[in-house]
Amino acid sequence: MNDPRDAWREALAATPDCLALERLGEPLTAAEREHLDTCARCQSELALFQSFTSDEATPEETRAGAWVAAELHRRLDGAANVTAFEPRRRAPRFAWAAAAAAVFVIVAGLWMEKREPSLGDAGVTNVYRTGRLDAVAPLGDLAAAPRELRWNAVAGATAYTVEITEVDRTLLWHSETSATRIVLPPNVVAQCAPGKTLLWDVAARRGSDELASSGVQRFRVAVPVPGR
Amino acid sequence: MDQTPSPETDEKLFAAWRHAKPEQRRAAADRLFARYYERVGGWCFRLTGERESAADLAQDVFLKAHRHLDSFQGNSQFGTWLYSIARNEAINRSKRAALPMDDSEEALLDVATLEPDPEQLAARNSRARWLQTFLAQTLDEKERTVFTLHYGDELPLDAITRLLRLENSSGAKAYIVSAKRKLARAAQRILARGDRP
Repeated sequence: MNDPRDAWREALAATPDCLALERLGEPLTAAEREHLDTCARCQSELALFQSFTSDEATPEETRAGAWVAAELHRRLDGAANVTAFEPRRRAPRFAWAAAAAAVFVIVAGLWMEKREPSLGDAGVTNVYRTGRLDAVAPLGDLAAAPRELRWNAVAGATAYTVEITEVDRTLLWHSETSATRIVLPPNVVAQCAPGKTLLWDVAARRGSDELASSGVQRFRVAVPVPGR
Repeated sequence: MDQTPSPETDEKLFAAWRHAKPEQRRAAADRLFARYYERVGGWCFRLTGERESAADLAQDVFLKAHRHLDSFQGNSQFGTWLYSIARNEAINRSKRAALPMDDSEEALLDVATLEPDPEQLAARNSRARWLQTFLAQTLDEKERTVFTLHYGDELPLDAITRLLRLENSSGAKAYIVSAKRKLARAAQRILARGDRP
C-alpha cells in the first residue's frame, strides 16, 4: 500500500458499530452517545450533518443559496422525467462550435415550427426524457450472494453505468460496461451479507445522455435457517 | 373556526406524492423538494465555494432524489434522507477529483501502517478500531473531525473550512498540520519505546 491515504480511508471508514446516517437527526440512545464520544468517523458525520441543518449563514451564503434555489427552479421544476441536464457552462474551446450548432438549431427549429405543432413544454431546455430499462437480476430475496448484475439491452446505448448502495444511499460500488451484465468484485460480493438489503440501479447511456434507467432495485440474501 | 390552512409538512407532501396520480407525481415531488432547494443550495455553495458548481451539484442531488424517492420509507426525517443523498453525492465527487498525494503526507504512512500489539488488536477487534482509538487519544475533537473529513472522505480543505465555519486564519489546514505533527510524534514514540496506545 503506497499511498498512506488508502490506509487512512480504510481506517476511517464506518464500522458496523457506527451510526447510520438516518440516525443523525434523531435523539441518540446512551449506547450511541457512548460510541459517538470515541469515534472520529461518527463525530465527523455529525459535524457534516450539522453543517447541513444549521440555519447560521453569512450574507454571501444566503444570497448564494437563494441564487441556487432559483436556478434549481429554472432547471428542474415541471420538467417531466428529467434525468440529466447538460452543465450550463461549456469549455471555451467548444464555444464557436456550440454557437454554430445553436444557430443551426434555431434556424432548423424555426423551419420545423412552421411545419408541425410543438409536442411539449417549449420553455424547458436541455431535458432528456428517459425510457425504461428492465433490470433482470438480482431482485428480491436470494438464496446466495449475487455474483453479477444483469439487465436487458437498450437500443442505441453505448454504455451502462451501474451502482450499488446501502439503503441509506451510501455508495458501495459503481462501474460502467458496454455489456448487459457485469461481474461483481469479491469485496462487493462479501458485503452482500444475509439479511442486509442492498439497492442497485443501472442507467443506459449514449455519450453523456442518459437514455433509460432501471430505477432503484432491491435485493437481499436470505438469512439461513438453522437445521435446513 | 380557524381558517388558517394547515402548514405543509414533509410528511404531508410525501404522502401527497405517494398517492398522486401518475401525471401529478412530478409536480407533487417538486413541491416537496422545493422546500429544500435553498438549504441544499446553500450547503453545496459552502462545499464548492462557487455558485455554478453549487447549482450543478445541487441539481445532481435532486435528480438522484427524484429517481430514488420511492426508496424513502419514512425511517428517518425526510431532510435527513435528502441530506444523505447530498452528502454521498458530494463525497463521491470529491473522491473522483482527489488530488495527488502531497510529499508531507508520506509521514502519515508511518502511522497508518503501525503494527499494534496483537493483544491490543484482538481487544479492539480490528485494525480500523485500533487506529480510531489511536486518533482519539492523540488528537482533539476538531483535529479528528477535520482529519477524518479530509483523509477519510477526501473533502478539500477549503470546503472543510467553510462547512465547519473554522474562523482561524488558515482554516482546516492548520488543524491538519497540527494533526500530522501530533500523529508523527506519537508514532515515533510507539516505534522507539514499543508502547501502544
